[in-house]
Parts: sequence; C-alpha cells; structure tokens
Amino acid sequence: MLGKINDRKLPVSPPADAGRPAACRTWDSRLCVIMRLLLIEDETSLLDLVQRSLTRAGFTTDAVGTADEARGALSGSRYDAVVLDLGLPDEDGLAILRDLRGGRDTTPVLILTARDGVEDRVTGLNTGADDYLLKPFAMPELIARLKALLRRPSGALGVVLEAGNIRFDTAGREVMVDGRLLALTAREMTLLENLLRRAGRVVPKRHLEERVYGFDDEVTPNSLEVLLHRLRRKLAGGGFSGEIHTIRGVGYMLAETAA
Amino acid sequence: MTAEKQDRRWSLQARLAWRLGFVLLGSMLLVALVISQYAWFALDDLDDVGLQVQASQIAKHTQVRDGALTVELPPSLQQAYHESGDGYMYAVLDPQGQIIAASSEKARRSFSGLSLGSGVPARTVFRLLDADGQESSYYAMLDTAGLPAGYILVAQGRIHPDVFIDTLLSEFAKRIGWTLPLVLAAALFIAIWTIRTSLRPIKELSLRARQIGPQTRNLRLPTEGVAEEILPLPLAINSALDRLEQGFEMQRRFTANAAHELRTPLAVLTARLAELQDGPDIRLLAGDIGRMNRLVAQLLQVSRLEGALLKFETLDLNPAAETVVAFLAPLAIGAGKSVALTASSKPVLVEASADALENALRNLVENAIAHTAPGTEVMVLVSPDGSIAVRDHGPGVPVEQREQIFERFWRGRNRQHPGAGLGLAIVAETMRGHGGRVTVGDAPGGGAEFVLHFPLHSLRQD
Repeated sequence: MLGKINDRKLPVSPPADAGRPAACRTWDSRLCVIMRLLLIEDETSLLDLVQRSLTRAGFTTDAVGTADEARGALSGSRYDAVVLDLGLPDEDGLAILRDLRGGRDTTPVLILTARDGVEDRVTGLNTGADDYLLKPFAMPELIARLKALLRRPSGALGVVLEAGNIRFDTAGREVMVDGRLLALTAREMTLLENLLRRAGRVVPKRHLEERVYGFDDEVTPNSLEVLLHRLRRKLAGGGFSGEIHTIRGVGYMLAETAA
Repeated sequence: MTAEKQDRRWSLQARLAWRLGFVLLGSMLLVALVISQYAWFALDDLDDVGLQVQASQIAKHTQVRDGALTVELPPSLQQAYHESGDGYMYAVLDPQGQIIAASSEKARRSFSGLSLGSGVPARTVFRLLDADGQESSYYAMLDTAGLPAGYILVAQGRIHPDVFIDTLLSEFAKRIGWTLPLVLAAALFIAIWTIRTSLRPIKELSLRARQIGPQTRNLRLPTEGVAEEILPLPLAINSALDRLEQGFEMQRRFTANAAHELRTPLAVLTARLAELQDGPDIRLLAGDIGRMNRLVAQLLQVSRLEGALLKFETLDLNPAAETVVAFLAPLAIGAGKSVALTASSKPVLVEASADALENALRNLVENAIAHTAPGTEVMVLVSPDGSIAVRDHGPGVPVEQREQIFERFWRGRNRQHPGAGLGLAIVAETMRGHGGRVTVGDAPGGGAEFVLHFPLHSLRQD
C-alpha cells in the first residue's frame, strides 16, 4: 500500500480497462466516470476491507495509514472524495482536513471515526467535513453516503445521477428509465433531481419547495404533493424500480429499490 | 417522621437564648446572695461601731466628782435617748457594779441582773437576756471607755437583719435589677446576631450542596466568608467531592474507552462479514453483530450521560424531532414500515442538551420501528407543552411492566427483541438529567405511546 502513494505522485496514467469499475462496463462508456477516492485509516484490516468493498462498488481507491502518507497522496493527485479517520497514529485527522480546506481544496471529505460526541461531530463539520460516519458502520451506508457526496452538482457523479434503473443527465436534462426516455416537465425534473442527489436519505419538504418553486410562484400547502403525485405516476408508468416515499411532516425520500 | 425529629431538635439560637438567660439569672442571684452575706457581716461591725460611739459619748459626759461618778448628758443627747424609745440604752456603773445612771427604767432593769465577775476585759460585747432568760435582740457592750473607774454599759436594739437585707435587696432590685432584662436582651441580640451572620454561609453551603449531583459534579462548596470554626467542614466536603469526582471520572473514562476501543474491531467484523456470501447463517451473524454494535453505542451513551456534564441550551423541539425522524426514516422504510412527524405549529422552546435529547428520541423511535407492525407508521408528535410523543402500532407495553422497562438491562419475558435493555434506561436517565420524565401508555389506535416531557424554557427561568 505504501507503494501506491509513490505511484500517485507520478503523472496519472489512464486506467487499464481491466480495472474499470463495474458501473463503467454496464453503462455507456462515454458517460462513464471513474471516481478516485483516498482512504485514510490506521487500522490496517479495516482499511483493507473498506478498500475492497469500495473497489467492488466501482471506486478506485488509494489507501494510506498515516497522516504523513495522506499528505503525500493529497499533494500528488486529485481525488473525487476523501474518507478520513480522525484517530491517526501520527497526527489528528482534523489537521489534514484543516490544511486541505486552508488550501481552498473543496474535495468532499467524509469523516469516519469512533468519536461520536456531538462536539466531535460539530468540530468535524465546522472544520469543513461534508459528512460524518460513525464506527462501526455498514458498508452499504458508507457507499450510499459517498455516492450522495459525489452526486452533488460539483461532484464526480453530479452530472449524471443514477438510482436503481433511473438515469438522469442533468446537463442534457434527460431522464431515462431502463434506457427509455421519460417525458417530464421542468418542475418534475427539478423535483426528481433533488431527490436523486440525496437518494436514500430524507429530503425536507421545505428544501424541495425552495428548489422547485420561484419567489413569484403561487404555492399552496399541497402544491408539492400534487406535483409529486404526478411524478410518481410517471415514474411507475416508466417502470422505475425504486420508490419515492413520503415521510409525513418531514419530507420525501427516493429509495433505489422498492421496499 | 423527620419533621417530628426536627421539632425536637433545638435551634442554636434557642439553645443559646435559654442558656444565656439561665446564666444571667444565676449571676444575678449570686450577686444578691453575696450582697446579703456581706450585709450580714457588715451588720455586726455596724453594731460594734454604734456601741463604741455610744460608749465614748457617754464617757465624754461622765466625770469623777468627789470620788463619785456623775453623768451629765447634754439635753440633745438625752432627747435622742428618749426618742429612740429604748432602741438605745446606757447605764454607768461604779467599780462595784452598782448602776449610777441609766437612760431609762427599762435600761436599769435590763442591766441590773448583770453580775460583773472579776477580770472583766476592757471591752465585752454580749447579748442582753430578756426577763425569761432568753436572748433578746439587744446587743450590749461593757466598756471602761477611758474612765478612771467604773464602767459604761451601752446597748442597742439590733437592726433586724432580715429587714435590713430585704431592704437592701429591694433596693438592689429597684436600682440594679431592672437592668437584668436589658442585659439579657442585649446579650441575646448579640448572640443571635453573631449566630445569624456566622451561620449565613452555611445556608449558602447547603443550597449549593443541594445542587451537586452526577451531572453537576464539578460544583464545590463556597469557602469565602465562612467562619473559621466552620471552614473545616466545607473544605473536607470539597476534598471528598474531589476524590469522588476522580473516581467517577475514572469509572466513566473506563466505560467510554472500553466502548470506544470496541468500535474499531466491530467495524472490522462488520466489514468482514459484508465480504462473505449472503446466506441464512451470515444474516444471523449480521444480526448478532448489529446487536453488539448497538450495545456498544448504548454503553457509550450511558457513560456520556453519567459523565458529561450535560450542556444545556435553549432549543426548539420541532427541528430536533425532524432531524431524528429524517435520520431514522430510511431504517423504517427499509423494514417495510414508515415514520411520520406531527410538528407543533409554533416553536416549542425547551432547555435541553441537543445531543442527549436526540439520543433519547432516537432510542424511542428505533424501539417503535422495531415493534410496530409491518406496513404501519410510527408517529412522532411534538406538543406545545414541551413533550414529544412516539406512537407505534405494536403490541404495546403491559401495565405491570411499565415501571420495569426503564430499568437497566431489563428485557421483558420474551427475549426475542434484539435489544440490550439499555435504551429505555438511557431515555429515563436523560430525562431525569433534564428535570423532565418519560412516561409510557397506550397509543390512541392501540400500541405503545412513549412521551418525553421536557420542562418548558420559560418555566425554567426562575
């Protein structure tokens, strides 16, 4: 693993086809994005396991065990996201985060830690972390959160949003279900985009209303529900494998697969 | 019972009051006693002096003329003897003891019975006997009083000692005794004032002591302004509290560290299991590890709850509940259930620790999701009275278990539910730490309803 850091300092060579993530083999290769992650974790067995899972999920990962190695890796190349353990043997993981943000680097950082005090969480997020996952964690949770980070407009997965058999090209404003184009209105698309960007997590109703409706729009309390009802019908008609759930009183959640 | 005991307990002020009163009264009595005793002795001296003065006066007016004694008292003296009504008597005797002159017939009679033995000392004081041979109240003195020959006998009715002392005492009471209540009042005032001022810090001490608890272990008793005699007590208590806090802190850190250290291996275990091919055994193992994870997380929560001094802030229950519901909604949906929130239309401000509040609510909602029937909804309800209710559509909690479920490691009769039995204990402890409580009852549509009651922000501002 130590060898890899040195590799990363070399000019990035195009990845070999054999190493291409599963996602890229399934989908149109023109749209295929290879996501590079840096994994910083001092517990070698955990590091190894996480790296294997992430690789299987289609990420390319570099794994390092110390802050020193992490700095080397970060200065040598660009990553789409960083998974950072706070309890490193040589330095506090937060120092790495602080340096990264100090250098105007906006690479999404997910903190992975055993520290779960609210203060630790707040400090982490205030220092510039984008998400916080507590040990022990379920691997699908880590992957879902990483994807959510990458689905941000600026993220590696931010242009083409995928969930289940749905595929949303935000640049071309095209929605495909199982490869078939789905006709949606502009508002329905905005709604779907916002749900897709945070697939698997609850999106507050307020947040959606702000995105979907402008200042001048007449919004009644159930405008959004009516819109969502139409979107659900269209998605179901198109054969969407997942589902949009209503969390009454809070918001909505798009699940990749139907429960 | 304690009230009864307290009634029997004397207050320091009352104790001091009656003791001081007792001492003052006693010293007054002692003074009176000393005075009367002194008066008693003084009386004898007074008698002696009076007799001597009489004798020398009589002697001054007694001359020897033609070998015989003659007594010629000036009229004023005669008058005085007369007016005394035999209170004072005299007689002049020749060397043979014959009465030559006397102040009155009574004196002549009183003195006539005396026999002068030979060798009569120069001056003799004695008591006259009355007709019955009993001692009378007259003191008499036989003296030569500087006469060349013969004797002078003088006597006076003794001042009645009882009367004298009574008079003296009544004078004492009139002139000095009235100061007794005043002195007593002044002494009491000073005593009570001193007690009050020196004990005031004790009241503050006990007020502060009442605030010290597991969540406020860092508080110490104030030592400023405490009287020197009392100071050792707060100092000793403070150092005892220091030692207790150290022990407590060590215990807490051990729990926290143990739970913390368990997390990484558990994460490895979880990840390793995810690597394996899915199957019934793997799913059982995953369940076991999940339970272990939960237990470790709860142990950490407990250690934090006991240890951390809860940081209170004013916060709105609506967004807090929304955070928890949003956080757990994926879990509910994954289990084929759902969760909903009915927020209060207005902010519900309470004084609470955000972390502890969310943990408590999360425990309740997780339980509700686990127990509610598939396809049903868990409802979280925020009320303006500062409470959050969590309702499920499960079997509910039997009335007889509604107390026990909040005990640590209590896990019902059927142990199928994969909990460690710490969740509700954490909730109950959290609520106690907030000055609130958690209650359990029946939900309107059947199922259990757990309610977290927080004291409202405005009510805590006393």
